Amino acid sequence: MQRDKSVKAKEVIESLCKLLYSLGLECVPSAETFRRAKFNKGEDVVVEFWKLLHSVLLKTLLLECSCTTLSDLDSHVREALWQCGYGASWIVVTTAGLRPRSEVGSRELLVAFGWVLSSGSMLEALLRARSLELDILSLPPTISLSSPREGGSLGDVDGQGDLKEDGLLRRLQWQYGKLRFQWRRLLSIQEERARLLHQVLSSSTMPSTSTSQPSSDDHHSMCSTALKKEVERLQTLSQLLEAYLEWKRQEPLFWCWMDSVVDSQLSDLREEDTVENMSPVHQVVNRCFPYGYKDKEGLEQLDNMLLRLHTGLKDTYTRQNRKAQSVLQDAEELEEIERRVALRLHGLAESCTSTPTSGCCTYRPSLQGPQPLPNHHQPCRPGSVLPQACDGAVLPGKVSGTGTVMVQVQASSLIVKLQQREDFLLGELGQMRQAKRGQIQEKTASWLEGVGVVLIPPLPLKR
Amino acid sequence: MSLLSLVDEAIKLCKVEETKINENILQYREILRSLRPQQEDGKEIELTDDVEKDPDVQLEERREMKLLNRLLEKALRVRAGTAPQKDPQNCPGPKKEPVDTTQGKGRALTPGGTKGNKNGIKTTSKPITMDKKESKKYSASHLSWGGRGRMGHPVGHSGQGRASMIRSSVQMQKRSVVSSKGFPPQSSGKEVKQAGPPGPVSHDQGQSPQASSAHHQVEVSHRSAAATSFQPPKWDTVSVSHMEGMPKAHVISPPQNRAPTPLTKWISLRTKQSRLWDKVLALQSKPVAERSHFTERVKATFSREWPTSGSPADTGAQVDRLTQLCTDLSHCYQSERLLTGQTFRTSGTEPATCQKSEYESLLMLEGLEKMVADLRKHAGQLRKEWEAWDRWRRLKGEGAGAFCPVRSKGEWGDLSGVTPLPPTLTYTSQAELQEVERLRLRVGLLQQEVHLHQALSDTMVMPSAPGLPNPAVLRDIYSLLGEGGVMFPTLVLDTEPD
Repeated sequence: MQRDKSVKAKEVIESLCKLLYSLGLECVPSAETFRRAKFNKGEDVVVEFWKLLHSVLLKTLLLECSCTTLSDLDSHVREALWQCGYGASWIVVTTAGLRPRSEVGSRELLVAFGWVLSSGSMLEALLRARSLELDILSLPPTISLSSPREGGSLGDVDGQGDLKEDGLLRRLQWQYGKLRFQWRRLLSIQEERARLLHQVLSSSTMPSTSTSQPSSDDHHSMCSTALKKEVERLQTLSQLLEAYLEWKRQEPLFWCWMDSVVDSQLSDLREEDTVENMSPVHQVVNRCFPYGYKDKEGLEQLDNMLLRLHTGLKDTYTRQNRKAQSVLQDAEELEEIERRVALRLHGLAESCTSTPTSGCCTYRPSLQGPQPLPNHHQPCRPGSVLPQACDGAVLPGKVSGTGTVMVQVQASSLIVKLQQREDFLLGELGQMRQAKRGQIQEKTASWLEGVGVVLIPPLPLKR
Repeated sequence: MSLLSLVDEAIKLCKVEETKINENILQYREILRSLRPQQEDGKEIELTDDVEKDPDVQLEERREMKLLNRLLEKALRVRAGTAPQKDPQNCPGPKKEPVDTTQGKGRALTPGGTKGNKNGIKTTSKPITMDKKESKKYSASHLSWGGRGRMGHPVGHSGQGRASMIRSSVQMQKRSVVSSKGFPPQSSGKEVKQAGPPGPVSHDQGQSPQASSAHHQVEVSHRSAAATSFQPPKWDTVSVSHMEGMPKAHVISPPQNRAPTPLTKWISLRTKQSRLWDKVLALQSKPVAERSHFTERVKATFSREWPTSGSPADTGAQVDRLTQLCTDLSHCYQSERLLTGQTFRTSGTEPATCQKSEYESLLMLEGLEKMVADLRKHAGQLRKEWEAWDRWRRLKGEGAGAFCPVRSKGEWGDLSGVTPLPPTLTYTSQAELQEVERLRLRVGLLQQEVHLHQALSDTMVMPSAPGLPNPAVLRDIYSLLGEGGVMFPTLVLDTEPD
């Protein structure tokens, strides 16, 4: 019985190691090392696990600096683990002080690794990243285009400075022009890529000519190097997917084994580590901590903005309220207006969530075979590559709904959503610009009149 | 300067995206290129399958073929003087492509070609060019062979074309003569016209067995038979010289079952991959009870004062998101306020529309206020969380050296409802796929534009009246803020007294 268990555990760990290796992680220790780590034996095991943790955390979190020596590794790993919400005693500073690296045993590292594996969907994220590299026939995400705004950095630019320096404005216009040119270019080559992608996908659905027609290998060897590379990539990807499936099959056993590790750890618990004795050292919130500052600043800025917004709204709202309420209007028009407003508000709310339906995540496109019309309303997943793969047993293709996992998306529905989003963004942009135009005109009206200059705005473009 | 740097960054991101897309395009083109000829082979294979199904095997012909084959082998060995090297099993990756030859690379056919190859071609170029009828015939078939679009000069390169034709036909083991002549329907007419006698002959020959050697011989003998009607001796020399260049011509009966073509491998791999993906996608949503049990147990070992859920990285990400939302809301609010003010001031003529727009903006502001109230609650929660985490934060200098700031990467974490794994997008036509892609890119670009506009309007503050700006500056500002830099207003000096 014990033998069986240990053999099974070994298999399970091996499948995990294989998966980690195919996911591109470096420093994956062997299954034997894992087993030894459970018993807190061996210095080399400790070192290996530090390295493993480091490479895992590097991939899943954005560590903004590099470290080479083991001591750096130590602090970075601890910091990263803390950021993930891991609160074991050797990471945090307690009243007992910080545990030095030498005292951290491999078992603890193993448990930490298990934690990282179990929280969030680390493996899935890694799988996704790796499959993006390997599968060139997938639609990559377009998130990369909108970089996150740095909250504080813009505030300190002197607005007046822009106006005084002609050269700056000209440069800005020039850069804007360049940017617009880039946009147009991107749109055109994107179209080309989609066309080629469709051709490649549709040729992969051709009925295979593999009726023992061994065309010679060096027939088109120069051209087929691309194909060979693609074949290699696909093979790697298939291996990766198989390793993942294998791991998923054996996952419960792994967690049982990890449970046993935790058991053995608890049995060896030190006096200082007990739950009661661990309490934070610092009760004071305000401290000079340079990296925490970023978060703190962010929070404060958020609060300020919200306050301003709130007070502004209160003022405007009360003023407007009096005027608008007294007017009777057509019910239809009211509805229309309300619908528009609701749409706009929804669009605003959506901009902060990154749902897959908004199209900014990656997709695996698959050409659908011609479907008979009655099947239109069936939720079942149609065959993707081979027309005959359409049987109900394939997948319970769930679509949308918050909380449910998206497995399959129809292009038509995605198009509708994207169009809505596009309309919303265009609308917002138009509103903002119009407001600015009016503002500028009003503010400069008196001055221009005094100087005798008339500002003629350009005619709106017919879109 | 940060405005400029923002725009620069945006340009850089676009360029990065562009290089990625270009890379993809190149990869797809290469794949398509390598697929296309094989697909054409596929078409011809299908055609010839029908022909080969006739079980008439003529033993006499087989014997003849074998003899001929042996002769040719000898000749090849003699000419090239490198007998043992020509191992058809090896299939070295020499670039013996008909494609290359057809591009008129003439003498420098392939790097992997043997010397004999070159010699052969040189010596036979003369007889080839003289053989106009033959060349015509083969050019026709040559044309029909591949719509690769590179054969602009069939006549001029007919020699090479023929060589390539023969070579490629040889290399396709299962090909019958018919295919080697490139018998897609459109050219068959031509062939029949030009080569009356060989027609039926080829047909017969085409029904030979599938042995690769037999094929080669068949084709050769067919050729010779065909050539007899025209110019036999030349054909012999030509064929021999051509044979030289083809190590594959040594048909020492290679095995029937070769490794599958890259195309078939690719197709099968793709189907396998999509099957695997389906399984993976189905699995990913299943919760694993043991895992959550383990997580609970580990959490139990933490301090009592440890926050129960979430993590500092999560809190940071949420703060970012909320800040972005707040920025959007405040810009929306500002523009609403400005617009209502403007419509109010300019509304004299149309009270109805003015009322409508007022009502609309009222509703909008109501909605905004609700959202802001929600946001404030959320922000309050986040602040509490952050403070809780902050108590556990380590001071700099304690324990070990420098710290690095850490941010959680995008989708890792507890964002529910977000699929980490890419879902399958099923589409029905090329237009649909193009539309999806276009819209995705467009939405991304519009988002970028909106951010830039927000940054611009935040930083470019209009000066108050006393500080009179330059008209040119005013024009620039107007165009950047009001028109997105696309169009410019005109400033006209109005000196005429009213």
